[in-house]
Amino acid sequence: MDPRSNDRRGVDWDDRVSVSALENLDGKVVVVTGATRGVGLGIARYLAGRGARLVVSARGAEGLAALSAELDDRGAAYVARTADAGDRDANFALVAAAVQEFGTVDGVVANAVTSNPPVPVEELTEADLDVPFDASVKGTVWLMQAAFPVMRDQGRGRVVTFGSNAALNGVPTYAAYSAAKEAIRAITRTAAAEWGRHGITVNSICPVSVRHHTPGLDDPEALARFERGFSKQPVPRDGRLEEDIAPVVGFLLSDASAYVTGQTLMADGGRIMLR
Amino acid sequence: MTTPVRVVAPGASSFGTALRDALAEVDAPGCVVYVCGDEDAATVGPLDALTPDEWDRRAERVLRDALAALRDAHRELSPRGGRIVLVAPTAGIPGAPELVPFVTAVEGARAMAKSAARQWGAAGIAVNTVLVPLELLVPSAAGATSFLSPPAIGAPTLAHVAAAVVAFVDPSRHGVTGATLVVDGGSVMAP
Amino acid sequence: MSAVDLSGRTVLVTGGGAGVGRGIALACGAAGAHVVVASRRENGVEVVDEIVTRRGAASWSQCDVTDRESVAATVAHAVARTGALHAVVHNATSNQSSVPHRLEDVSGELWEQHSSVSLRGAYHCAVAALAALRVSGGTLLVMTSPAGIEGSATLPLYATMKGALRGFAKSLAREWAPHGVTVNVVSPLAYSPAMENAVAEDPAMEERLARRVPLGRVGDPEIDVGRGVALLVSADAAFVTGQTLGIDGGHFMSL
Repeated sequence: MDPRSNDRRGVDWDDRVSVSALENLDGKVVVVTGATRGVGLGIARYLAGRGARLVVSARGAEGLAALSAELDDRGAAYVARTADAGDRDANFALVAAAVQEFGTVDGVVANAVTSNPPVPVEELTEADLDVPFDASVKGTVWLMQAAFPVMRDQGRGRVVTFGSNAALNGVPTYAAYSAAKEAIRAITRTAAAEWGRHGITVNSICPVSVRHHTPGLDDPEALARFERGFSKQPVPRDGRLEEDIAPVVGFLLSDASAYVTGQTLMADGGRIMLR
Repeated sequence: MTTPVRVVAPGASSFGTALRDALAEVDAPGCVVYVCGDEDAATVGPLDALTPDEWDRRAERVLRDALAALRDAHRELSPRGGRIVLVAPTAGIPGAPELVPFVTAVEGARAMAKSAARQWGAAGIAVNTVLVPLELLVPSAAGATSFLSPPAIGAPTLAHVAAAVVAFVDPSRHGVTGATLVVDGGSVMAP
Repeated sequence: MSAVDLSGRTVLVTGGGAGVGRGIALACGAAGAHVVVASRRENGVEVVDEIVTRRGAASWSQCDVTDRESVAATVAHAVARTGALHAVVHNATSNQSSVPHRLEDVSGELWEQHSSVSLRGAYHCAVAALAALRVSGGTLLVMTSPAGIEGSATLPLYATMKGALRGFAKSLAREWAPHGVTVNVVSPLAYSPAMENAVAEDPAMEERLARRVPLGRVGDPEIDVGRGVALLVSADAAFVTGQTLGIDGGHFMSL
């Protein structure tokens, strides 16, 4: 099968194209939800450093103000908006802001999520299930829907969604959260199959970087215990947000990943070797 | 001055040569790419029609070559660490009729690569796999995976396969090892 | 009394003299199959005796799976003895399987030991049995392990072989489907002689392992693994092919 024989929309066909240049993110317009903490913050910083133009969101205005100050210092081009993860109108407004400010949207990173208290399956309430489904499943879908018309019309787009190692493993007391994460991976594959014809790729990432939300690590003993927890995995440490997690997201947002779709990428130090 | 990625491709395959060319500009010391498979190994035909010698050439030899390549890479990269990428066909995940010995070897090589990732991670050597359509790797075997869904976005070009390899050899990707990246335009979407 | 009915079926089990292979042989015998216990050593004879004592039917065939002729002779024995062959369970692995090693130090000899039993053995079983399995609409079963799917930090060659066998089985399942022959893979967690040795040396290991198994224990080769395999080699599983089934108490769910 001649690799040149397929649909050419949105892809540079010149085989002399520089392979390194394919990863260029300079000027790419990317929406990042939940951008003021943890993984989202690491992604926002990384993308800003690579010259991307950002629309960043979070629930709280304070966090956004701090992020804005940082992005100003870097001279990054960005728009900051408050948004609840599962709010349909808010997600659509983020994409509208991208189009208004920057003229388009190239990628969306559906990172925003709410945390869930651990609950054994036999005690799950409707509310326990609603929280992660409303915030992260629906939130992911709303963000994708908002970006779709723009991406379809330009024949190119990138969607990055978030799965979870806990969901892949089946960790006790995480049923509601895990169900939402696996739902997201299913939506990812479905959307990938539907939107491929428009040059839109849809992929999931399963990141492991937990230091930022693990309390009590000032205590040297607690820190030592924390670090020991990673000693048995292939890369024997916790993931670092900007160095380990964000670059994988960067790859998925770039032209280099034009033929990667419907996939789940692991950024977990090799804890789970999927497939 | 660039240190190009070292591409090891047995059987003088045209894919290996093309990949080497595509990667020539990339500066990546301490990186080895091993292409698993060649036309001989991926000869299509029923298992029960093989001679024992053919089984050995298509299964045994391919696996032993992969082992030798990994060991060579380990020897080369050991003191300072580095990055190894195995390139193999996606056909190993769904299986492929009339390619039994080759797929046996490919899936063995993938498990070997994951084991290498586990054993060599602490030494700073990452081992990852990029899976590509069989027809890109071995054009003569294209028919064997005709049962797969057509790719959602289109068949990948060599440049994009090379870009995926680069993604794994890029020193910024410290935290990724034992991973498998499918670059096939969205045909195989394993859960 | 087994719920699965294998009466009238002939099941061949390689590595049937001990451990999981023995458990499979006993379970299939209890379910009514004629079991051909194929083993290199005469411990297979004891397994035959046990099946017969329990009023089942079985016979022993000395079999070295690394030797194509030996496997062919074992298949021929099965067909001559019972008139048919319905299932081949290729369970044999190298007796070096659980010896920890480093990938960078693997010798040609260690490689050959693993590969000749696991891979060439599977190939020999397949080609020897195909004709008979086509007639009976039968099945070939091979064994894998989590190591085959996620690699192993201590047993890289074992992982290689177990991963390879999955690729073997999936491809063969597609190739033999038009012949009406199914091919599947089982990933067991049960006591084997190697595991029993390991536990004898480090009793705490058993408890550590059991704690990581959702069902809280390591499996019994006959009751847990054997019965699951009996289902897979029965007519009830005729629509199942190319699959990997974990019979491991939920130890590994990432298939």
